[in-house]
Amino acid sequence: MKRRKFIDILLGSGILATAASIVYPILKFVIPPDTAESAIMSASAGRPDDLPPNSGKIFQFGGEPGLIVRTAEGELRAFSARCTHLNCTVQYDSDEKQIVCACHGGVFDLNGKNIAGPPPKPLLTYSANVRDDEIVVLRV
Amino acid sequence: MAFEQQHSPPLRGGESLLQRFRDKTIPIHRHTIWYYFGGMTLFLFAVQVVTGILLLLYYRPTAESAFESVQFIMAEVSFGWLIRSIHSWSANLMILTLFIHMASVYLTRAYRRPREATWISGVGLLVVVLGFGFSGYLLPWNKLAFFATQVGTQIVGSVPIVGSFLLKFLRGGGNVTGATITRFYAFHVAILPATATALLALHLLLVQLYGMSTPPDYKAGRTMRFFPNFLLRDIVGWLVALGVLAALAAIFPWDLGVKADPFAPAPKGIRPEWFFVWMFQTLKIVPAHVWIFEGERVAILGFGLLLVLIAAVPLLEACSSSVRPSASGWFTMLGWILLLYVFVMTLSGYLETPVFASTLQVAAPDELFRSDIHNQRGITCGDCHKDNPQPEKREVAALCARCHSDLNYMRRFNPQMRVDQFAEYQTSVHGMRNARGDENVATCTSCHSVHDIRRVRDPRSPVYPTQIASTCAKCHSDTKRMAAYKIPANQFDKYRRSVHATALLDRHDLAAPSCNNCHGNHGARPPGVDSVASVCGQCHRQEKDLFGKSPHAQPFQDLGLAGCVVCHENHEIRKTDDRMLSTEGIGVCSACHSDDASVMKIRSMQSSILKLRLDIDTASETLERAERAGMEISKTKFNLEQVHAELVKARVSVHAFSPEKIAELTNPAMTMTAAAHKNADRALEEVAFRRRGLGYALIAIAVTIIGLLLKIREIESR
Repeated sequence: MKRRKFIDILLGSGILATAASIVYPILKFVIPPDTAESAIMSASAGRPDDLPPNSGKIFQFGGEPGLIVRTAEGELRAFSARCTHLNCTVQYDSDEKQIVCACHGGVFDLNGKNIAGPPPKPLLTYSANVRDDEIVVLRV
Repeated sequence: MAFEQQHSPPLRGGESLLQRFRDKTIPIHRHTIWYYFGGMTLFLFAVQVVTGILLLLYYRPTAESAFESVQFIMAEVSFGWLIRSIHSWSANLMILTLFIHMASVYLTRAYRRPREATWISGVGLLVVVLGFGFSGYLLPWNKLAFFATQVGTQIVGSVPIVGSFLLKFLRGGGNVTGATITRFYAFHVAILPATATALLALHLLLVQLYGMSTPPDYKAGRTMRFFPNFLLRDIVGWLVALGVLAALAAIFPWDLGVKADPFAPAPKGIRPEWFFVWMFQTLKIVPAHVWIFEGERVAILGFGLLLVLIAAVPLLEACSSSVRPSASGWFTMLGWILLLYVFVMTLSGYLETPVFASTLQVAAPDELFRSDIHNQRGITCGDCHKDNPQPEKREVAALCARCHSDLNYMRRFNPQMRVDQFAEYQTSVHGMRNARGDENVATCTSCHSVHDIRRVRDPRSPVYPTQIASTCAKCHSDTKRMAAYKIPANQFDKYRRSVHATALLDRHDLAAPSCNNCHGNHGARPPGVDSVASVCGQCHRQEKDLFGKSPHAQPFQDLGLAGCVVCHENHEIRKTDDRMLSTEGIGVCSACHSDDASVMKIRSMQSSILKLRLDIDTASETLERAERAGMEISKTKFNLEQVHAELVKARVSVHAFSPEKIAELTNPAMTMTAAAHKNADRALEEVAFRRRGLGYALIAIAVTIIGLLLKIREIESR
């Protein structure tokens, strides 16, 4: 093979490979992923049937934990699950019908108001609605 | 390094710009290397445009979703991490190459006639590029960028006359908010690109028109053709830059940081992007006042003036050289001084440790009563002392109670204020002894001070939560004084080693208990054996409830054991440890349990908790490795955080002393931990994939560079 041809082949394959390593990531990037974009103003907290009266569960709201509670009377209430004391995740206490923090015993009522223990302020509250068999929690 | 000005002839009749471009030659000399930095900056600008357009497909410019959309790009979109990291890295490299390009043009005096307009358009491009940097920094809406923008726009607000207008214009209001993102987004993707395109077109046109300037020792004849010789060499440089960008993006993906919270305190060590640090440092060293003007305003004016002077250098130098030929040497020296200043100030910005001075001033003795809350409410010496100029210690409480137990009187100051303190005090150990004439016990002034009594919520008050333990210790750590009452004098030392003191005094968690939370304040006395659990249960309610229903509750009551204190001590309450749930080592169960059945139960509870903790630790470690490698793993971290909350619940449930109850919590938590661990492993596999991809891309780039170099040699040997 002549030197000139060898250089052309080398250069051509280099250019092709470089172009491929630029174009491939770009093509992959422009195709949207299967995962839906995280909705920031709202989040799904699961199906209403999965949340019986007098129970609560943690769900993800953006990058933060949220707490959805169905009261004994069947009403849905949603809060930020971050304890206002030291940011531990709070939970629903079905015996006492209160929201409690296991870390330092903070207690909140079902309006999110801090009623006992160290938390200095109420939990952030969200609004919870049922839409198409799904609990949708919205920032107020 | 003075360059001779090579005046390019104007376009000849019929000669097109394309013809000029085709025939263009590049002089070869020892400073030819500097010619490449303009092209390199242009290449990096092109990378910015392409990656910027790609990012627009997913980015959302609002305070609510900007951070999350960048997080989405980094974590969910294929190669999103690569596109965003390349965008950020190439922005910084572009500014660096632009600085080098400008410095080389300045120091080689390539700005001289006829290239004055080229230089001025270049200075304009510098301003636009800095604007890109400033506006782009805020767009991910993270904590550091938020505060840096707040400081940066505040500085702009100091510009004389138009400052407040500029501040509002930039922020889209009085503060940095979602409106600021929208504005910065508009600047970043519309206004600045349009300006940059116009300036760049002018700049490149002028470069083609006037050609390259050459040094005086350049021997005419040594040139190379712009196309293909110089352009191919330029491309080699661009490919090297591309390789460097790919490596930086793959090995050090651009960090996203923490979402901005306008209500959070500013983090330590906030500083602007590196290219603004020298200005930031200058503002720090400028005195508060320069003559009659505010120092900051003078410095801002100085920066503006410096920019105008830099733009006007070709004209200034031409004027001064025509008067005095040696003046041009001064311009070079000034250039070096400015470069050195920028370098030193930037370096000092990165080397200095952020200092946060917060010293509390203590009032001088003669000012004591001035800071007293009574004085501030109009109460004078006579109100306390007219009937009794020097009250005895045993009379003090009653003296204070004259007002503080009078509901109608206290209501004038604060309708919610308590008036039962004296009554409580009389039931306390202190009050009862005081009533019997014991002058050694505490009364109001022992804790609240005498003439500089402050509100309880004033951090300087001796009864402020962080001060109470020390206030009690004034007497309770006095061995001689305590010996008379047969009370140990080591409670404060023990308390200081406790988990509560660490939280209150070291971490300043004002919710953590001090002496008064367990003993009461005005009615101070030790809690009885039967009330210990209730006292601790004020905060540890779940533990108290579980313990109350547990098999331990009744036997403890029957044996007269003081609940929580049996396992956790009273003053020296140490941070709990999973090893305490054991009959061995520091285990607290061995005091009562030694039979096989109990030991089996205890081991079962401990092993459930230890296994979960071990699983969480292992998963966290893998996750940290992935995070250190630059992976966006916030979702998995969130899940692991929830598992940790389950571990806390399991630890609390230990107080029910039921292995089944603990297993109910730990078993699902272990499944969640396994899933988190799997995700962490996947993230590490992704790191390996990125490194492999980088390797392939670098090989491709290297092959192209070798091919290009051989091609250049072949062309030049023809």
